[in-house]
Amino acid sequence: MIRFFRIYSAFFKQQVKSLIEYKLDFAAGMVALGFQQVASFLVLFAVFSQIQAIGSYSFDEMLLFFGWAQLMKGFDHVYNDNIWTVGWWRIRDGSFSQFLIRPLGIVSQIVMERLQFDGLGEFLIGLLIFIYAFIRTGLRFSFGDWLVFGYFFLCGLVIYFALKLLGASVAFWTISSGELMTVTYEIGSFTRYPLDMYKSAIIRSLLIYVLPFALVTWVPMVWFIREPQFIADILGIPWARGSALLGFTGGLTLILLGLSVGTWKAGLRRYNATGT
Amino acid sequence: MITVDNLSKEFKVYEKQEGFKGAVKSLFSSKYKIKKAVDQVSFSIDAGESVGYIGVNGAGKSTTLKMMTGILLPTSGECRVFGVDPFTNRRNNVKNIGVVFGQRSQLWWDLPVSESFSILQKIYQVPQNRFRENLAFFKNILELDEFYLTPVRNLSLGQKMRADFAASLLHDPKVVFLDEPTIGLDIVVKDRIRSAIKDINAQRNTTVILTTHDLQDIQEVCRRIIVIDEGKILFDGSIDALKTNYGRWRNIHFEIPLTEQGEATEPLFPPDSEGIEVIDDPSGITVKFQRDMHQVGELISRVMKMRQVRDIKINEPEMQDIVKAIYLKGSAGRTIGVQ
Repeated sequence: MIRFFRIYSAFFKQQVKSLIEYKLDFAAGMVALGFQQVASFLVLFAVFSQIQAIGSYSFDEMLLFFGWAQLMKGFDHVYNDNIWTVGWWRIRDGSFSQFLIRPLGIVSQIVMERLQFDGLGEFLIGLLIFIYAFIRTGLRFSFGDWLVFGYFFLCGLVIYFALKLLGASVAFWTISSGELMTVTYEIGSFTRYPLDMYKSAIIRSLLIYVLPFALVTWVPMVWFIREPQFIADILGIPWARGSALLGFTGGLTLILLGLSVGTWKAGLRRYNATGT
Repeated sequence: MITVDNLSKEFKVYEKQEGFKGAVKSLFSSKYKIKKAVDQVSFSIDAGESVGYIGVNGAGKSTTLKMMTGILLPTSGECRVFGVDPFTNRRNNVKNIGVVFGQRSQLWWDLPVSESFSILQKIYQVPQNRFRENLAFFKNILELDEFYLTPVRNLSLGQKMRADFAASLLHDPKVVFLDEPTIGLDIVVKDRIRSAIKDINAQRNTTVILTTHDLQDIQEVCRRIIVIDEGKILFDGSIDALKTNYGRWRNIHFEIPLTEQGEATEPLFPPDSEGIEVIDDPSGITVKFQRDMHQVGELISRVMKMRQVRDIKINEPEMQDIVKAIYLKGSAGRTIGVQ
């Protein structure tokens, strides 16, 4: 573990160095992403300038979802972006092999090899919106609330991680799975909006059980601003209230992680290392 | 010690048809053939050996190497590299081995060579003083200094290869697998790589397993050679054994003055002579004979008596020709194992 962080920090230092080298590129990337963020924020703002609430949610509550979704996505984007390369080309051109000849975990090597600073903008804007919304909605967190908050944060990161790994693993069978990963990732932006906005039961179940993005954003936020019964009703699971909901979230997260790691391992056994 | 026991690797090759229509058709069919890339290969290599592993493109060299390095899971059979199963115990195995793929750099594209090396030091947990020693050693034999601080993406092919080679040996592996390490390199760099391979093999007793298409590599670096074709081993033994087994034919070329040519009346050898063949060419004649059936001296004196000879040249069989003959014979030839 210590070695992991030592090597991670070595890579990190290198990246900062090359950031300094390519200042302009970095700045341009940040500005472009910033624009993208502001634009999607403005859409939300425009909608709410006409109506004061969507469904049962006030503007500030919507911002809470929006900010949180952005923050999570940004965080994941920063630390765990390199796994995309497995889906796009590392299996196809065989460069995946290089991870297999080093005495470290394969996934940790992939993760530590590149930090994606572009995601920093997403994360920061998300954080700002979240803090603003947090204050506006008048939320007060006890110590226990913070623990729950941290728990959800962790589950969210694991879900993102597991989905990406699962998507990348598919490439062991299909050679390339970048498109699949993109679609999966895009579906994640559904959860900038609360789950009960989607009237279709199919979409809801999809976002709870198949690509559980609802557990990343909606469940954690609504936990703090609504009654347990309300959440259980929308989820369609009567018993998922209070600590049972926490268990439900953690359980699903672990199942997804297990499935994803299992698929990855199975994939490694059939990796055929194209190219000489 | 490396042991490979009945090792096989099969790939499914889906049947494809030509053209767009064919592509649509094959989308709905799942016919496939099993291609045996490596077919029940067995050998064992002692610590400190230097072995050339050769074969035509697609013979199964790289596939065998990838199983020994833990990249590929064998379909059947067993492989142990210093007692470790490379696939199931990947992380322990890779500590013992160094790998160089001539076709692909293992270094980080954006990092200078120096930084790549220091990251490798951390990954393999090489003690600082050992790292310094190794670095000095490789800087010296491979002359890395001129590009040590340059990012890998800016290196020439030859520089990249030298850096890659050093990188694979920084952690003092017991064995190094070199997959076409001299591919595409100029003569000077080739020489430098070859002498570096010899150095680590001789001075550090590092086991070397080398695949290549350049037989000069093998001749200079390896004492033992394994020839593989269509996944099967055709030959396993020393280079001398290869020559005695496959290179039984020798050539003597007799240069005959133009004025004397074409005047011959009686044949040089009785037409039913075994193991002998006479070929006419513009400058004279070439007598091909089997070394174990005829004496060089006898042949020469016989020809000298019957023809006016200006010059004689005896040719040793070139390794290139021998190997080519083995390749062409393919798996139809018999397998010979001579240690």
